[in-house]
Order: sequence, then C-alpha cells, then structure tokens
Amino acid sequence: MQDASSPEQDAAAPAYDWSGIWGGVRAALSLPGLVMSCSFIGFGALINSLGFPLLAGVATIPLIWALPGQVLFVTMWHSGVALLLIAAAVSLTAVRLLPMVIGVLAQVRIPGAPRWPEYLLSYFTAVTIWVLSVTHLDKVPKRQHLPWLIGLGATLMTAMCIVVPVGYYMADLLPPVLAACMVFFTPAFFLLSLIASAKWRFDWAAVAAGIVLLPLARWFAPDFDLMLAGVGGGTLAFLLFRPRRKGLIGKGQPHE
Amino acid sequence: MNEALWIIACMVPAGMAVTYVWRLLGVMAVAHIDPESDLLLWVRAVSTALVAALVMRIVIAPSGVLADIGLVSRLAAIAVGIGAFYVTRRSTNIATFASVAALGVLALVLG
Repeated sequence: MQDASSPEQDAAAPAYDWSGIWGGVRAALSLPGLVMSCSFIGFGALINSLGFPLLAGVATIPLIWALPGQVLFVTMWHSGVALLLIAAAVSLTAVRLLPMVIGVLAQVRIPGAPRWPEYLLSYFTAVTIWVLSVTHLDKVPKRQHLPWLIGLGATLMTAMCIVVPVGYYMADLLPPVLAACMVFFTPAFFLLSLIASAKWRFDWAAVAAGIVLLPLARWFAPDFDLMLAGVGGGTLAFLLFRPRRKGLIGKGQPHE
Repeated sequence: MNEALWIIACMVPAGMAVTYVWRLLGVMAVAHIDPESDLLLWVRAVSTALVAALVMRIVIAPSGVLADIGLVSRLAAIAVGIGAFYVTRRSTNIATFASVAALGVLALVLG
C-alpha cells in the first residue's frame, strides 16, 4: 500500500484509499449517530402509532434512506392516499438529494479514479452525511474521503435498522406521554433543520407557506393536503421571493 | 406479514425508485449541472414547503399517542423549540431536545 498522504502518489495513480472506511465507522458511533438515533426511535414510535407494519417500516431505511420521504410514505399510506400521489410527494422531497449528492461528491471525488464508488456513496447520501462531510473531513487525507463517508453511511444505515424496532417496541412499554414525546422528535427535528438551513427569503417563505397552507388545504381537500400545501406553498414562495442575483446556491447549504 | 410484504412491494416503485433517481442524476450531473437553474430553485422551495407542511400535519392532526396530548401543548412545544434554537445560538440538536422535553412537561401540566 502506498502512502495515502503523499501528493506524488495522488497524481501518479488516482485511486481511493479504502482504509478510510474505518474512520467513518468510528465517526458514526459518535454524537451525530446519537442524534440520528433519536429521530429514528421517533420514527419507530410513529409507525407503531399509525399501525404500520414494523417490517415495512424498517424496509423504508435501505429502500428510501431519507427521513422526510420515509415519514411521508408511512403517513400517506396510513391515510389511504393513491400510490401515485405518494410516489409524487416522496419524489418531491427527494429532489433535494440531487444538489446534496453533487455537493458531497464535488468535495470528495478524485477525478480520474473509477466512478463506481461515487454511485455507492450516492446511495448513502442524506443530510447527516452532508453535514459530516463539511465538518469532519478536513482531518482525513483526501484519498480517504470517499471511503470514509461510505463507512459512515453503511454503519448509520445498519444501526438505524436496529434502532427503529427499538423505538417501535419502546412506544408500547413507555407511559403514553413519553411515547408521544418520542413521536414528537421527528416533526421538531424537521422544522428546526429547515430553519437552520434557511438562507434566502424564499426558503423562509416556503417554510411559512407550508405551515399556513396545510390547515387550509386540509379543510378544502383532506386527501391532497400535503401536495396542495407543498406544491402550492413552494411555488408561491418561489414566485414571490425568487432570488434575482446569481451566485447564491453554490455558496449555500443543501438542506433537509 | 402479507400486509408488510405488499407495502414493501409498493415501496420499491413508489418510494425507492422515485428517491434514488435523484441520487443517480446527481452522480451523473456532478460535472455538468447548473445548481442555480430556476428549476432547481423551484424544486428546493417546493420540497421545503412540503416538509414544513408535513411537520404541521403531524402537529395539528396526529394519530395515536400524540393525539392524546392537547393541540395547545403540541403547538407550544414547537414554539419552545424555535425559541431554544435562537437562545442556544442555533443549535438544532439542543433545540430539538428542548422541544421534546417541553412537550412532556406541557402534557403533564395542560394535558
């Protein structure tokens, strides 16, 4: 094995240093893993309270791997909404993964190296990965960046498959108030993440529009409430507060 | 068990495919795409509003255990979280815990 930190070797043979995986595995077991676990315990409690089958709830982890999409899927399934509408809503929340994948890969990919590890990393990419890629990677050698994130993502995904059943069964054992608190973790975390990542006026407008329009949409068309408030509110926010200046998005944070 | 397998069968096209297509496009586009195009900005606004609406849906029309706690407590707990976010100088983690703890306290006091 060649010295990972040697720049000459980087230039001579563009390739990833897969020993970086283990650093990512260790990082998954620290604070970000704990915060993520709380959200997924809440997700387990949520699917229990909706009467959603545990096996299908756990399957959302490897199949979707983005908590807003997972919560949308189980919530809308529970409401008996048409599958096409569910697919449209889940896909709309997942579009944000596109700029997120681009943002993560732009930092860690090695031009000239094989591209399959990039596809593998995109499979694990979600908001936690993105946050850690900007906060932790400066201490990791460049050739280990992508393997480091794959180690992190694979460990988190595996751990969440264990955490969700824990939340599901804890919800039955806990007093009702504590069980309700666990369910509440997810909406509280989502809203605060949206606020934390809002940078421009149309972000704020979109948050406000979604909140204000949902009760109205629910009143007029209960089956379409999320789609009406999401697509209607987001479009309204975009049209009213569209940034006129270029150079905004590249400096901003993808958010979830 | 059969119900779970049926849901998973529906999830592959309606959950997995529609999610992963954006990740794949991200990998393919990493060298070419314009992240400032109007289309991507609109998409960002819609997905933000959709998640905000989802939060509101869970808060005002919950099912199961959360429905046993009063609407006032649920809304106040969200307000506490937002307040804690600014008091702690924008710590999402602490503010989330504060919001959840507030819900527990408010539920015991107000119902």
